[in-house]
Amino acid sequence: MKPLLRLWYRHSPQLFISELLEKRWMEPIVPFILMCVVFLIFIVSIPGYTSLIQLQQLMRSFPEQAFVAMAMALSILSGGIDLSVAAVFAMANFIALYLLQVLGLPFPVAVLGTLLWGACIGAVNGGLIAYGKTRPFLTTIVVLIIVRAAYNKLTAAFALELASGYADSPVWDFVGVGLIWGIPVNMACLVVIGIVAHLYLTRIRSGVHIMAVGSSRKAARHAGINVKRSLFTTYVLAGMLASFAGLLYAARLNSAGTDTGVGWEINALAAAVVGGISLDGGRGTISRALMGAAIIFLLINGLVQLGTHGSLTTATIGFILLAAVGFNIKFVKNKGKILQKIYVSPSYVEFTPPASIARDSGSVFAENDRLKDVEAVALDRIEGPEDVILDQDDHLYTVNRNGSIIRFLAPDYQEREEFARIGGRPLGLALDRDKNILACVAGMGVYGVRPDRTVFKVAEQTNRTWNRLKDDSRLWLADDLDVAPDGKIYFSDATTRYDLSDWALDGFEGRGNGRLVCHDPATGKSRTILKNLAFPNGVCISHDGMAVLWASTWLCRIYRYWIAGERTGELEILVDNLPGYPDNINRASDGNYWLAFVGLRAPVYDLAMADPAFRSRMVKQIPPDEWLCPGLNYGCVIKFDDAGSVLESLWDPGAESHPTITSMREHKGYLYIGGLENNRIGRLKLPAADKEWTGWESYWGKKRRDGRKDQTAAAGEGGTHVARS
Amino acid sequence: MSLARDIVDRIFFPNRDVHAIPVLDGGFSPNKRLDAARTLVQFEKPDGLAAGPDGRLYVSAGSTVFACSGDGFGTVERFAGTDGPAGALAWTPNNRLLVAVEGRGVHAFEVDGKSTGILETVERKPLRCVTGLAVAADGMVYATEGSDRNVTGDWLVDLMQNRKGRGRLVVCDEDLSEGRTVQGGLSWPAGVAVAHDEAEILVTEAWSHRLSAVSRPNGAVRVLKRNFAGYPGRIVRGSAGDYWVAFFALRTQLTEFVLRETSFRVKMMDRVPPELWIGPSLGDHVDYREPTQVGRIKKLGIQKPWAPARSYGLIARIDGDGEAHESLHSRVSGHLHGITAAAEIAGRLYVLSRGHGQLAVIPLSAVEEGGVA
Repeated sequence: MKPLLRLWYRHSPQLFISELLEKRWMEPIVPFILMCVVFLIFIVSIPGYTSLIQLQQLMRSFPEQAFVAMAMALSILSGGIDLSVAAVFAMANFIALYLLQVLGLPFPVAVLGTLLWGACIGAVNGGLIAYGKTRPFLTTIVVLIIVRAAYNKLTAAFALELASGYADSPVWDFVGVGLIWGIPVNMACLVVIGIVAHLYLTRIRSGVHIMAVGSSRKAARHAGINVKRSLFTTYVLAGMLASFAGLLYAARLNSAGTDTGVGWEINALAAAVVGGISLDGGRGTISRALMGAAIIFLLINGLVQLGTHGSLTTATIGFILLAAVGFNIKFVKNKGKILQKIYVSPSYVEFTPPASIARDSGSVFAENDRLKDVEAVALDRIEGPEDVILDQDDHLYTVNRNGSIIRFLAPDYQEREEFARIGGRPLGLALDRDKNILACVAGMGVYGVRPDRTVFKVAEQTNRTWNRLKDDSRLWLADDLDVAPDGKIYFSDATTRYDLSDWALDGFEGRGNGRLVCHDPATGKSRTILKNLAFPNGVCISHDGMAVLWASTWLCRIYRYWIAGERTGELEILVDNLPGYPDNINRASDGNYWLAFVGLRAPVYDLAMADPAFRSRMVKQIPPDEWLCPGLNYGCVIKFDDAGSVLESLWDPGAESHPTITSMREHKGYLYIGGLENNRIGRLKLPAADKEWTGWESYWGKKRRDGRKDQTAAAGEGGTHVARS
Repeated sequence: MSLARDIVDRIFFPNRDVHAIPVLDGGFSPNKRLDAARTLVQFEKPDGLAAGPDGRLYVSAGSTVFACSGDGFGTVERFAGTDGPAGALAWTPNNRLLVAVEGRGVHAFEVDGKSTGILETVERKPLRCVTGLAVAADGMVYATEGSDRNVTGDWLVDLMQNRKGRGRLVVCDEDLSEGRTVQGGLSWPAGVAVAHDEAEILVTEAWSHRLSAVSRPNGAVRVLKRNFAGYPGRIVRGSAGDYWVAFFALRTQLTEFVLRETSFRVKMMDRVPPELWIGPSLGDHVDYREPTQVGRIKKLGIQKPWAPARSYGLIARIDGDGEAHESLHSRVSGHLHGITAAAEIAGRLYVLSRGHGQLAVIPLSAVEEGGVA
């Protein structure tokens, strides 16, 4: 049962849905589903609905309405409305027929003439609205009445000529009834123009300007957009789209009846609204307009085919639209709320009680006073020194929460200077062979600072997980890093679901959201080497240079991943079931490793971790500030060796000076202590430590230990072997 | 679903407990006045406080009752010992000190500290959990029994067992005879006071977060105030026709949530030691392994005062209708938590902090000024 539960919560549908809801293309999901449902209903209820002929028939008559709907959508997106589209369409139909059949002009001229008509009437609309500052609704309704009246007069006047006229043009016939690979020509036109229109509104400057004007006219003007020209362009384009629809209609039917295009403006408006285009402007896409148009078209067409009475058809459409629009509004409005409720998706983690930390327990983790008299460096002059590092000249470097690397100058560390400003939230630090400082920066990636203070980028992305909805190619929360002897940089991307401000929520979730990434400076490429890790943190290359040690904060474990030697690529648990949440790991001068506990485990929290349903309800029922979370207010420092045994612990009783301890760095007989939420750096003298030992020497200088094969052999037996995940 | 349940609840159970915890507002607006209190004496686990007829302050702490006298009550003498943890204290008109003793009942002591009597049962049911004591002017002794299942010290266990209505209000004569139950079915009544007009008894119920008034002549109950933001404890008379209510802890949404989560709560009670449970605390025990809430994570070494409270210091002055007029707080980052008792003497408010083990004093004139401002 438990493996099943674990699997269920690990790949919870909630996770999938929350990542789905985050996608922008999920916004028109309601109109899309409605379109599919309508289509399916008619497939079931109308025999032969999906036959080739029937489908071709549908595709042949749909584009005209779709173009009119696009014209309407365009004007709505610009923040106005164009009610004249249907009349322009009808008039374009007449003009096309007149030019071709009555005047006998060649096809290209007829096309140009028709489009020119659309552009002209659009210019009238646009000119009045943009430059004359008239109201779009009234302006276009007036144009609608005038053009409609003119159309009725003209069709009556030329009825005879139109009826007897004949255009001897194969192209004209091809546009009317031709097929391209079985698809009607006008449908092909719709697809091409639809894509072009989409790209125009999202990628081309003047199209983006139209959207901007629709979103907020004032803001657009403040941003320097020529609002009047954008509006003018909109109505010209809308007129041209409508007249193109008229051209297609003329080619298909060759007739100009009195009812041509009557009521189409209402259908177009309905299409835009059903598609979820906001009548306030600026919100919507061309694809939504097409979806809306398809819904309306399929409904009318299908109900007519079913033989429904005309008025009943209208009423049915009305009701369906009302329901769909109502639902869509609620959905769009509450999508964020739904996401908020379900984004945190707890998983199943089972713990066994850890070793005691009680003062009198005799365990290696027992509370003591060894950090009680730790000296405070930079008290209240640093905000959140997540990691500290010292260079060969004994200068102390640390990170500040405003995104800079701060340096305190040796020997007394009184003088503070901003060494470099990277931005983001720098976390883990490392020194490479060239004495560059490398920093993991939450929200940005891995960056470096040269001794001359120039900042350079190391990595900002890795390979994307192909089977995941969320785009995780960007580094999300790079946490700690270390450099292998061959120069490769190993770093952890602690979670891909939360920002640093919400990192405790990742612990609340307890899922493997993080990964270990390797950056090869030789190729400049980064590659994810281990994924689905529960908050990987504290990356450290072992003394022998053959393995990466990293800590899984929420699983309270230390892992070892071999990067050299015959066990390359193997992953094993080195230390399990720690009583605290491990953070950074750093080398100690005696060939062992320091490890910071950022927090201590609470029995109640362990219990809650094994009850994801309880945590899910907590997420839904109480506000985030009240959620149970890992105990991050107390920590300590421990030391462990290559065999995975814990050797000692250092405590600050009551955590008065160091509430969170996220890192510690040994340097020339002192231990420097940093914390993500601390206001100081602690400095502790280590009486027994090597006074000459520095981190850089241990990696690149004469204190290297990678010749010691005996240590490696002993270590190999110590760890528990686990399968590679 | 929850909306439907809420509507049904509203229609069929108009007097139900509401779960929404009110924010600290109005008379309960947070301040730091308790933190400004001056410490008089440190005690180990103090609980009850009463002013004696001899002008001394009597404090129960552990299994001892102490008498504080002298300038600033700094001279502490042992007054009497009890055979269990001593709790509530009250003086009778004939100058005897009544002491609630956990697991035993109510002891009476003469002014010289000699034991003179004990009330162990009322209506053949033992009094093992006396939480509050009050004596009327006519000598009638009122006592609240928190629960018939748990003793006083197991208050958190009782809360987490979530059994409602196991407590009662009892009354007896001045010489601890003729005990009888006035009102049963109370949810951990934690404090009792005789109203200024001697016509009603005010009773706080911690687990149902309310204050009721029980009529002395006929036992009729009227709820004065429901849904406090904290757990109301002892209640004592103030000097201006008002009352001081000590809230020994604040309710939190997490605690209320866990109270609804029966299976988790049972597991927690089964496997985790009580001091590490999710729930209120008096602040007398700090453990690295206690549960943490997101808002309580320290930022740059600072504990935010608005964080969800595990322990808190709060005492409020309420009028006869249960409305709070002012309150004194020691917020989450403060250092006078778990107020279990208070006494107003000569323009000063003496409070007993269980959490920080001390008797402290606040000049009430300052309170008055603060209250007006």
